[in-house]
Amino acid sequence: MTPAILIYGNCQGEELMLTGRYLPSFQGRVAFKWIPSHKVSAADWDTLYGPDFMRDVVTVWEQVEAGPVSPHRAALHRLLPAGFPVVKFPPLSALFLWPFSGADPRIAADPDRYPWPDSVGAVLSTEAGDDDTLFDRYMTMTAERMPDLERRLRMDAARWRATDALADFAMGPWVEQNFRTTKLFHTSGHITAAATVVLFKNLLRLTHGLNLAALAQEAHALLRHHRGQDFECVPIHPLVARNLGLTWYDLDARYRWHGHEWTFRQYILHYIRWAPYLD
Amino acid sequence: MKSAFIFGHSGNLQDALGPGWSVEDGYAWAVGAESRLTLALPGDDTTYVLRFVVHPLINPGVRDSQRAIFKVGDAILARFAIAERQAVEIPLPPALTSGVRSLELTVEHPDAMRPADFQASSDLRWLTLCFHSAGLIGADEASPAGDGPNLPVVLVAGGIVARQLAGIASALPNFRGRAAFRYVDTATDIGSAEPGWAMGAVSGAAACWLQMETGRASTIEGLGSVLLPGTAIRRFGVPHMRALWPFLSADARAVPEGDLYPSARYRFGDRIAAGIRAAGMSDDALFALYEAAGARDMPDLDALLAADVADWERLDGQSDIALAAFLKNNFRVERLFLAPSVPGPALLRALAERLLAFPLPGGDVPAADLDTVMEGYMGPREELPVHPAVASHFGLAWWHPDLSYRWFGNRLSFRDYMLGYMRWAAWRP
Repeated sequence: MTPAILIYGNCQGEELMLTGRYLPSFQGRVAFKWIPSHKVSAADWDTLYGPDFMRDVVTVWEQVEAGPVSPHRAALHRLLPAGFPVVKFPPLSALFLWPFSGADPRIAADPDRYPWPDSVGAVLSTEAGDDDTLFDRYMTMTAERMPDLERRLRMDAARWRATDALADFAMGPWVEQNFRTTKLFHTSGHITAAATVVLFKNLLRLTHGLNLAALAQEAHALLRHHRGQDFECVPIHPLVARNLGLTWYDLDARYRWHGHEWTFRQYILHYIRWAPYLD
Repeated sequence: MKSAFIFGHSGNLQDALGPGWSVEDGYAWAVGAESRLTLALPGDDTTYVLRFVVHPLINPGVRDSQRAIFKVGDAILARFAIAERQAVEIPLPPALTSGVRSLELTVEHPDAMRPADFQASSDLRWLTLCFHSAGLIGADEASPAGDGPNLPVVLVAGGIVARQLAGIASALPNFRGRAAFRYVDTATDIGSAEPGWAMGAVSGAAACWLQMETGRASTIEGLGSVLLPGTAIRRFGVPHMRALWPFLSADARAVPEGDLYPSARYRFGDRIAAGIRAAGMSDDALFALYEAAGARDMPDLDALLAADVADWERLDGQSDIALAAFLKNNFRVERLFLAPSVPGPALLRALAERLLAFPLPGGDVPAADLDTVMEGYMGPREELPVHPAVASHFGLAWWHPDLSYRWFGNRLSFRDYMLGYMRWAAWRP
């Protein structure tokens, strides 16, 4: 029986699982499993994640969350004997980079098309106009409504501190030190490979019985050209990049959106028009 | 949607909220016992539905939902008990909206709580429901009929390219509400895998685009036998190109590796790279060896191109659309192939354009609509790097020395890819 590391977490957990699975040194020696904390249902604990599922698990990497213990987390804890090896890691998020992320009533009826709402784009969605007019309106409105980004950053940093305090290692200070020079997020909740590799190395470091040096080198090699969770990249507003001093930002960059790569302008226009796209 | 209303400081309801609100950056809490808001209306005769997206403050086991009563004057429009984030829809009687420019709504919410009373919080506000957005929606739009089973169906049968073409056609505005494009994977057994197809949508299809030289013969024959007589079948081939990858060959290492690489780690073999022993060599030395061997063994590229052209012309002869001339004239200008058997966006567009030129239930498709749907489309993330000497020989306008290639989840230079290939390095999708 191949020993397994079980990851309990959101889609960042899937990213860690895939990284573990593709590491050459782990193949045939350590397996990786993932319970998606954002999708698991009450019935899953009886059907999918029972004793058979847990039989080969030797370590759990548990993504923490602020607030009271959810019923699913409690169900996970019930599966683990006292003293079972658990490494707790924080979730990574960055709301401050997308200050107009908010609400869009279209999502209620069509939740998957553009799941990262832009409140100004939503307001403009019912206005008539050609591309130039709509984009100019978007840029004008967002410039007028641009919030205090440093305050937004402080709010996120407070959230990072809260979840770091629950975990076995902190990521907040690393994010604060690096987000200006390295792209760490594709959306407010989806991370680049630069963030994955740091998270992964921290988990390896705290997992008993692993050859950290060799694995860390392999993880770096595996992810050095990888894009991370890039199937939906929400472009960052140029004013946000300027105000926050994002040195990696490229005004002409193209962002992957499923089968497409769009500029900031193209993304915003597609979003406002709620336009279909190709996978 | 006729109007979008966004709560919060960055929204557009700053002047519309009356008493009973606590506004934050991206939303507004309804506080106390009652909240009022005035929404702008278009004043036309359309029948509308108001859709609010809200989430409640709950205290599990003590208060599991928040009640809300939406009123105009004394008239109650709707009541809800809201236990989680959801969209609630309120049909608006035409008498309230027809010829009227604004709607004064009152929301009664009798279950206010203070977070500080039951959470680790200093929030002393009497909170009830958090309002995110609202949409004023035509009643017809709120309950759309959907595609419905009665739309004419165009079957698009074949492999991955057929699926891509079905996706492109489905996204075109011409066909919304007029026709449905349905992909049929001819690699599966149509009879056993999807029995509903055979007797239902397939037999009544208005047309069928059929990709040649792929799929199971029994499925393709079965498809032909269940289509109604007279159904227009348009056969199309998917061309390949080898001249851009002259070292293409089998590699003994290229075998399926379970779930990790179901086809192979590197499914396009390179005979030069496969012949180099990479162990113990530095990257620079290894790549230099590859470059030298490649330069020495470069085959006659024009002969390879001639063979490709002959194959394209053969395909044209069997197909209902012609592509050979387009391919010959454009492969230098546009990136028509991402890999020998992987069409790029420009080739997919050419295929779609030709198939859409046949009569269809939605009518003629303007080229501009196709351009819009395909704006920024990149195609599959399986781009096989092109050798610089090949790009130079053919004068590929779309190629440049710093071109990077999408390889599943990665983006690589030609050098990075070749080094990974020679070392048979693991990569992550």
